[in-house]
Amino acid sequence: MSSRLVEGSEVVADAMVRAGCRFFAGYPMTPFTEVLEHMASALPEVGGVCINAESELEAVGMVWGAAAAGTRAATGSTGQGLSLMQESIAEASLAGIGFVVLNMARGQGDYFQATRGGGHGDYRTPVLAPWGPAEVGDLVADAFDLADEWRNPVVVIGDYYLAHTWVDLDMSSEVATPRPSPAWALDGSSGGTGAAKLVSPLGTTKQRDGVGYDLAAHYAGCAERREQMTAGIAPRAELTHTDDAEVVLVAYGTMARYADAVVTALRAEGERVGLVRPITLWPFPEDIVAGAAEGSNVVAVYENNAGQMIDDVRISVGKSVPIVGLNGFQTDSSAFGIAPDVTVENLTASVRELLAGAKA
Amino acid sequence: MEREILFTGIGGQGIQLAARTLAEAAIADGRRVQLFASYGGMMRGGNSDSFLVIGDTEVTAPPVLGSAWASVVMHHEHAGDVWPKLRPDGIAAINDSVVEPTCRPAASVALLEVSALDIATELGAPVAASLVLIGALVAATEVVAADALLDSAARVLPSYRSEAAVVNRKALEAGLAAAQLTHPAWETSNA
Repeated sequence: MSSRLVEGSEVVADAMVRAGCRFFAGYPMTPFTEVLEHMASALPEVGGVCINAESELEAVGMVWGAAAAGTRAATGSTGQGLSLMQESIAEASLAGIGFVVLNMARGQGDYFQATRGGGHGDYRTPVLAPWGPAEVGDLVADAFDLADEWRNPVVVIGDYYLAHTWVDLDMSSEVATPRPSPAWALDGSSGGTGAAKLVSPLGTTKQRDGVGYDLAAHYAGCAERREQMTAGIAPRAELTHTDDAEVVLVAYGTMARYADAVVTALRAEGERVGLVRPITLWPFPEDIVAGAAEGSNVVAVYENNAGQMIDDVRISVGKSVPIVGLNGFQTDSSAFGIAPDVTVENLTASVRELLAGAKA
Repeated sequence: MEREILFTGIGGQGIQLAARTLAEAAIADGRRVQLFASYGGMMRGGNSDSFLVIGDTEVTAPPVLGSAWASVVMHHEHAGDVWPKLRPDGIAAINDSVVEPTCRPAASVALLEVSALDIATELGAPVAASLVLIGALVAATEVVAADALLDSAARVLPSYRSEAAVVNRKALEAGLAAAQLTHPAWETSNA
């Protein structure tokens, strides 16, 4: 084992290169900037291309093009930059073009943006949420596989903490050979043959000569593909001490690190506290959350926003168990989503109150 | 077992380099680490903090710590946030060339006051003061082996800063010479 000190941003970039990503475009914005820097350094070494685009609009457009030509490709930003990309993400989904979109978010205010999307049309994007650098490699690889399998953009959501946390990791494993270009990808070889390939949000064939695209048929096809994707992706979550828990915490990403520390400490005191950590935010692990909530006295959703994932927890659990939100934290003046009140001590105090209420 | 070390100072004092140097040394010692860096938008003068955890096994702690064993305080500006987090049996390494005399932790915390900036200035490299201070912390605690610390001086530098490795190593050596073992970080296995 050859471990070295490595920053979360570099782990993300390294994972993309290992997964066969050979085109990356983005525009700098904290805390995404370091990912872009690492990609600019790493991709040319493996024959790939990284472009610092003029803006996020161009970045996602370039990635759309690279992916349509069959290359594993990715872009990213913070939530602010991803707001600018929503039109293209939606159109790519309707066009059946898969790529990976990183959201190195500021806090967790982009949960709705990631899981609902801000673009137009009837689309969905799978969302994976690592809780630390050590989990990034596997989830980034999964994201590219999902993007390929479902020909759909896939979001990997992190935050400032993930980007700027350094750990010792073994970075010596082999870089995979990129997978072959899929048969549907545009390669310029079929032009003029009468059977040219077409990849477009309006459809892949001009079904009705003289009229143009048959959007009704295309959108029906998109809806069918979305339904298959929804059913075909297994929702994932990690359970910690939920079997007999009186208080069940639900938290994802960095916030789950705090929740996990609190659960470990309170369990050592004999308190019945558990944690559900959603790893796929879409599809949301509804059954896993509902199962963990069953038999508990209260479900508490701990998130660094004003309360977003709590909606999915409500959908999952219904009204059988009370659900409370532990959220609404003030962030510091950096605007990077660092919340001084997000501490093990504060969460411990909140959970103790819930435990006291549960016993009352 | 884990040892948590909070670093605080202002941009330009080398906080991030010092934290990374100590983290690299801990890895060389065979330990696991987690280091979270937090700094404002300003290159100089803004807050610069680091949260380092050194453990015997994989570190799963949250990135920001509410409780710590040690602190490395290069400047008083943001030290007020650090003192309440230090455990009563902890140790505070303080750059007393700069940190105001009134800026000190609770009485139970061991003090390691080192004129780090003066020592680094004598070496001709005032920017290496933070390395003097972690050298002293290592001497006082053996939280990492002295050799591992010295060897990490060159490894943490990017190629375009490699010429600083020699003076940085001297700063670490000066720090190591500035304190005695008083506060062992780890329980010795043959105790």
